[in-house]
Order: sequence, then C-alpha cells, then structure tokens
Amino acid sequence: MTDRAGRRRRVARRVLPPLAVFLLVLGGWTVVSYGLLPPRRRFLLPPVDQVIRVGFLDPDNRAELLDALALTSRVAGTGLAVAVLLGVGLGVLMAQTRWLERAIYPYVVVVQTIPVLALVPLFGFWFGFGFASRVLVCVLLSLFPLVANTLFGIRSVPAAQHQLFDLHRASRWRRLVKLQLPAALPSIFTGLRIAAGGSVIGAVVGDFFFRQGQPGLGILIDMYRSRLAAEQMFAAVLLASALGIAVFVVFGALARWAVGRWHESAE
Amino acid sequence: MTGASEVVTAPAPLLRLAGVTKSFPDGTDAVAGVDLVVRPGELVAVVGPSGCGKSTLLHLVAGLARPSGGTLTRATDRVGYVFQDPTLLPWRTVRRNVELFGELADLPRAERRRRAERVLAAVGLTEFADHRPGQLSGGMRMRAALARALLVEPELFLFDEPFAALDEITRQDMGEELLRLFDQRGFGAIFVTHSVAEAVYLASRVLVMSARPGRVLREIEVAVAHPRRPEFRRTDTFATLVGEVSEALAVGSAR
Repeated sequence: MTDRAGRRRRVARRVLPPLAVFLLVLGGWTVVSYGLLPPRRRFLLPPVDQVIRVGFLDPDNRAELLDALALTSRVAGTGLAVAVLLGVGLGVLMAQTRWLERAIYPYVVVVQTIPVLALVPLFGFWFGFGFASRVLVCVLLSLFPLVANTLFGIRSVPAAQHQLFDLHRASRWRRLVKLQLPAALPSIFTGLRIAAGGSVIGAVVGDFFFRQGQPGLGILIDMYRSRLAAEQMFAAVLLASALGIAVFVVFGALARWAVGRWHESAE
Repeated sequence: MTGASEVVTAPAPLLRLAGVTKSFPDGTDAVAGVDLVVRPGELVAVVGPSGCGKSTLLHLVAGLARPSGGTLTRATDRVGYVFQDPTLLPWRTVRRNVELFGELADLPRAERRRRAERVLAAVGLTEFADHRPGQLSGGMRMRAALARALLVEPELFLFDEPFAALDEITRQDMGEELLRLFDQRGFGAIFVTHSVAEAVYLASRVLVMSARPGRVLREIEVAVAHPRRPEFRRTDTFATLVGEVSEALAVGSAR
C-alpha cells in the first residue's frame, strides 16, 4: 500500500510540473485568442477548441491531415533507415583505417555544413519532386550525427579491451562484431536520436519545396497558410510537432531498452 | 639400479627467456637482457620500481609485443592473462564475459558453457553468472576476470598487478583464491606486483627488477613449499624474506 502510494507520489512529482506548464500555455493561448485578439484578427492564433474541432474532428480535414502525416512519417522513416545503414556503415569503415577516415570525413562534414534545404530545388531538378528526393533530404540531414557517433563510439573502445582480442589474435570482423559495435552502441543510439529529429525536420521542411504529388505535412501547412485556414494550419503544425516529439520519445525508449541495462548514458 | 643413476628431472620449462630486450621506437629500453625460466608448478613473482618494464615483460611473454633482442621460447599456447583492471565487457553478463575467450578460440557452444560453469564455480561466482559487471563489487569483478582466464585451461598464467586496485582484505582473499587454484591446477605463473609481502607470500621465486631499463637484479628463492597457509605471513622466514626483497628493491630503485 505505502509502496504503491510512494510510487504514485514519485510519478506525480515527475508529471505534475510539466503538466502545469502545459495547462498554463493552453490557458495563455485561450486568453490571447478570446481575450486579446478581436474576432477579425483571431486567425493569428485560433482558439484551441476551434483548432481541435475544425482540424481534427471534421472527418474530411482529419483524413487530409492523417494522410499527410502518414506520408511524412514514411519519408522520414525511409530517410532515417537509409541514413542509419549509410552512416553506421561509413563510421565502421572509417574506424578501420586512418586514411579512409581522412579521406571521407571532410565530405561528411561538408554535408553537415552546407544548407541542405537550399539544395532541395536542385534535387527536384535531378531526381524529380517525388518520394526519392524527399527521402534524400532526410538522409542528408540525418547522416552526420550517425557517422560521427559511430566513429566516436568505435574509437573510444579502451585499449585494454582491445588487448583481450589481441591475446587471441581475433580477426577484424570478430573484433568489430564482438567488441567495437557493442561498445559503440550507446554512442550510436545518441546519434540515432539526433538523426531521427533531423529526419523529421527534413521531411516536414523539405516538403515546402515539393508542391507536386501527394501532400505531406509541410505542404499542408503551407497550403493552409496561403488559404488563411488558421485552424487547420495550427492542427497541422501541432501534428508535425507531435511527430517530432513521438520520434524523440520512441528513440529514447529504444536506447534505454538496448543499452540501459549496462550503460548509464541511456538515462 | 643404483642411486647414482637416478636423475632428478625438473619438468620441461613452459617459458624460457634468454637475454630478452625490448626497445621502444625512441631508442630507450623498457627491459634489457632479462633471463627467466618458468616451469609448471612454479609461481614467479616480479617486483620492481614503477616503469621498470614489468608489464612489458608480460606483454612479450603473451605475444602482445615482440622482443627487440634475445630469445623467448614458450612451450604452450594456453596462456591465461589477468590485467590490473578486470577489463570486463560491460554489455555482457559475467557468464558471457567468461565465455569470451572460448568464442575467440572457436570452442563449441556446449563446451564453452560447460567450462564456464566450472570456472565460475571455481571462483565462487555461480550465483552471479547472469549479473552484469556494473552490478558487481571490485573483488567480484576480479574473480570474473580470473574465471575468464581460467576458461582456456592455462598452463601458463600471467598476472599484471591484478589485485592492486582492491582493498587490503579483498586483496588477501584473492591471494588465497589464487593459491588455491594454483595448488589444484599446478600451472606455471608470472605474478607482477608492487607488494613485496604479496610476492613473498605467493611465489616460489621472487625476481627483483631494476629501474628502467628493467634488468633482473636478484632472484630470491622462497623455499617454503606450497600449499601456503596464512600463518606463513607470521613466520620469521617470511619476515626475513620480505626484508631481503625490500632491500634488493631499494638498491634497484636508488640507481
């Protein structure tokens, strides 16, 4: 009994403060919408209940939003998957030999430093304004943290642990599978979490440039803006934010599940 | 036949070092002209000032480094190595850590399991087999490292200050543990340590090395048969030998 009560109190202590802030924001939002803005200008910040009613409860609007969400998620997910394969692969490759690291790393940094979104029209030129180009944007936005964290994780394996493998003249492959990759896992998951965020941003923001084909969340946001459909625009923005938050939470949980049993960074 | 024809045969050496030298790329010598023979059932302790190349010596014996000069002959491939730090892989359970060398030596899974059970029991870690290293005390981690080395059923054991990081009580417990295994299994061993008392208590012979470049200054026989009992620590022989080794060490460090 007391145990359960204690747990409930701990949970409450963690949940209540952010919940209070959330309610405060909603309250402030409502006050601004209904109290400060004249009805004529209420589209600048439509009231919460209107956003929910028009954006999410209206079946047609909801279907439009959910379809866009599905597409955006698919783009971000595919982009992330490709980035993981490519990024971890490159990181592993670069960790094997110094000259490969020296050869490739500058270009990985270049990909990180150039404004990828500015290249979007170019991708459209080359690859069309469809799925592939959208995915490419996500890959480029999420590649760097994966490469850098994989490389860092592998390079950080203590020399003493390598000696265990030296003693038995372990092959490169065994060392990779039994030592370097598991040791790098916490670091790779850190990269994955950052990359997942990047991929969502790529999918939503990249969308602004892809006005053709099936609309993703970014296109919808832009479309609602141009129509002054404030309630729907806010609904789409909320949904995009929710996607980002969900990705963050899911990958945090994934990291805890994978390495939390032995590594404190997952906390 | 007659007594004269009786030959006392010492077992063939597991390890023979003759004039072994290791130079670093910058030209300095880590060890210089080391002669050493280790036979089965012999525990040779090596003491010396910090940086006298004791660890280098073990690296050479284990094949982690090559000598720059002299000859090193090792009669066995079954070498157990225990580092100063337990160096367990944090993502593996104790059992899987212990099995690591079995995996690297391509032992069949069943054999690996069987051996792991046995060595875990030998060091008293059976009930912690499914814990991860992070959940264990320092002494238990060292036991796990010991079990890991035992898995290859070593004929030659190399200890690189294995108990240096442990508190005194745990350290003595581990010493007893080690002696028990040594008495049971009769491997040959080199035991590098900073502790003169530990060296005398454990070893059949104590090698005193000089400051860098490490040379063998003296070799002191500990003429007390194994198995050793803790009472040995309180004998005059023990005190005398500790004094003798300390003196040799002081000479070596002063140069």
